[in-house]
Amino acid sequence: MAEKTTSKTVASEKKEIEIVNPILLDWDDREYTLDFNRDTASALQYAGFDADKIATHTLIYPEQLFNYAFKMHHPNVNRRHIESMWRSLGGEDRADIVSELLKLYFQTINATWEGDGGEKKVKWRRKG
Amino acid sequence: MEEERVNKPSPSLRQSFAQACPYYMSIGMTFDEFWYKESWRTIVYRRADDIRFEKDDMARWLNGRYVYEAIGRLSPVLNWGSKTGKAEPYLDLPFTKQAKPEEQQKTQREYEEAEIANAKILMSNLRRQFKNRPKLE
Repeated sequence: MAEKTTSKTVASEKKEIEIVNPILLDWDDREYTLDFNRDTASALQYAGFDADKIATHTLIYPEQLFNYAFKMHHPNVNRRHIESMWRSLGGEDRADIVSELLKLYFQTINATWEGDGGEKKVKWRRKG
Repeated sequence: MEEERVNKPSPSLRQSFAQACPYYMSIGMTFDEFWYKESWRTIVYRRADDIRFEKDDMARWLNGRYVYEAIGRLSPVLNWGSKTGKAEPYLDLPFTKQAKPEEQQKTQREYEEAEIANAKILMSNLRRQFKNRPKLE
């Protein structure tokens, strides 16, 4: 049903540019493109969405994320229509879509304040 | 003091984006592009700005080299103690159009080879003329 996103890389003289492609969703013989721009990402945060708490607030935040992902390309889609789409998604599909939507959401933030990507990258590991 | 810092609300995304927006507009992005188009475009604009800066920097460096070269060639005129007092002519061609050292060596070798060939022809002609000369009685 939903087409998974793939990270596209554009070769640049210096380093590669990582792009997270939007999600394409087919519903009722119509194709919907789910993506975020800075305006919709800001509106989502203003509506109370907190990406850090998405794992603990599973009833509200994933659906809110899904709902706002339509606003960039389909601002006039009926909210009930989106709700029925959300309800029709299976558990696995939902998890996949939410994780891809989070990538798109974070892309709006990371693309604005990208680090210099120098050679001295911070190394980190998990404890234990 | 610490409590104050903790309780201070973090700036909203819209405020943070609004702070970044003027920078992107200064490097050629439009307001609508920044807010309403694909978010990764900012990366492309930043890269383009980096490339533009490198090109400008290269142009400035090259300009400095030309000035340096010109002053160097004028130095005999500028130096009052100089005996010659003649300025060298300015570069015939820009640095980028000038032959590389390898090419200069190649042309020199070609010139020498041509000179040798000419000398051989001249010698053989002279030898022939010397052979065919009328004998003295």
